[in-house]
Amino acid sequence: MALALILTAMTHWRARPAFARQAYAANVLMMVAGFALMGLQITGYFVA
Amino acid sequence: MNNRFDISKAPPLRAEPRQHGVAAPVQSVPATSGGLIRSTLIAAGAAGAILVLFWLPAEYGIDPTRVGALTGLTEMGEIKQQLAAEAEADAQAAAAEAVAPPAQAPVAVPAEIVQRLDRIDAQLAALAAVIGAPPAAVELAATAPVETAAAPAAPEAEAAPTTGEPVEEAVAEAAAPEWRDEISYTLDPSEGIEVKLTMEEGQVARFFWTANGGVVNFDLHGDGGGQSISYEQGRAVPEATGDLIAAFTGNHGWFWRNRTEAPVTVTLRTGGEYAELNAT
Repeated sequence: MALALILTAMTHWRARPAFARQAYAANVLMMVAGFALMGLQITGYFVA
Repeated sequence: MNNRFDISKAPPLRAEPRQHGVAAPVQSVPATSGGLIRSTLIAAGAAGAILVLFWLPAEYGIDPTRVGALTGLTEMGEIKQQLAAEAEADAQAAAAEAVAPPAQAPVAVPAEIVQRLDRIDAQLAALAAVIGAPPAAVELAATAPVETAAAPAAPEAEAAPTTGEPVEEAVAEAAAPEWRDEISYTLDPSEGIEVKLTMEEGQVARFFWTANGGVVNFDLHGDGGGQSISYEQGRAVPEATGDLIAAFTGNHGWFWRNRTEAPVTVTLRTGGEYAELNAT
């Protein structure tokens, strides 16, 4: 069910003309989140 | 999110949104290596900024830029750290009490205090032996008379004098007749103390404690015979008064911790039904 919903949403998104720009921005956002989480974990390691 | 009835965005003369797929088939995302590196660096920079400006203050109380202090996030982080430290201290105290009497002697203390701690340790060892013994032995060992103070005076007695000494502990008979014990202890920043009353199940002890103008965190709890209970907890409390009803036979009392920047003197007065008062 969840996968079907995701597939539908992704298909619609990919069909949109702005997909390339949005996908790139989304990737950068994911990287921001990833780096922030990484920093948090590393800080936690040194604090403990 | 994907409003297919949005007239302004719909291409002219196209009824079905699916037509997009035909007109513009699924395309790959164009990316150059230079652009990717730049994006990665931007992402890392943004992540670092979020981390330093907001996340570390809120999570650990680490605030190198002082932005966290402005937004109040540092306080949040400090409270989190404080709660974690208290949970750890409680666990350690419980473990230490279960195994052996805790020895909390600071690095440099007067010989008088060390002697006092030694005596407290001896008392605790005796207590531990008693707790481990059968109930008959407990009654024999509880030599201190259980007296019921019946004086009707209000429990809010006069505030005890605040002493300037860093570590000052005085177990003495209270001036007021309704209190059996009075103890004062000066807690340095982040220092904690545990004071327990030895009580039988159902006994009622009256208490009043004050931080003498400061505030302390406290946990009113009990343990004994493999049981433990927390009656009440509080943060940044100036004083409290009430009755302590032992839920089971064992040691019931307070754990105080000074989370302020300045030393705080805690004064405790107790009365009612209990065998003895012990501080660790």
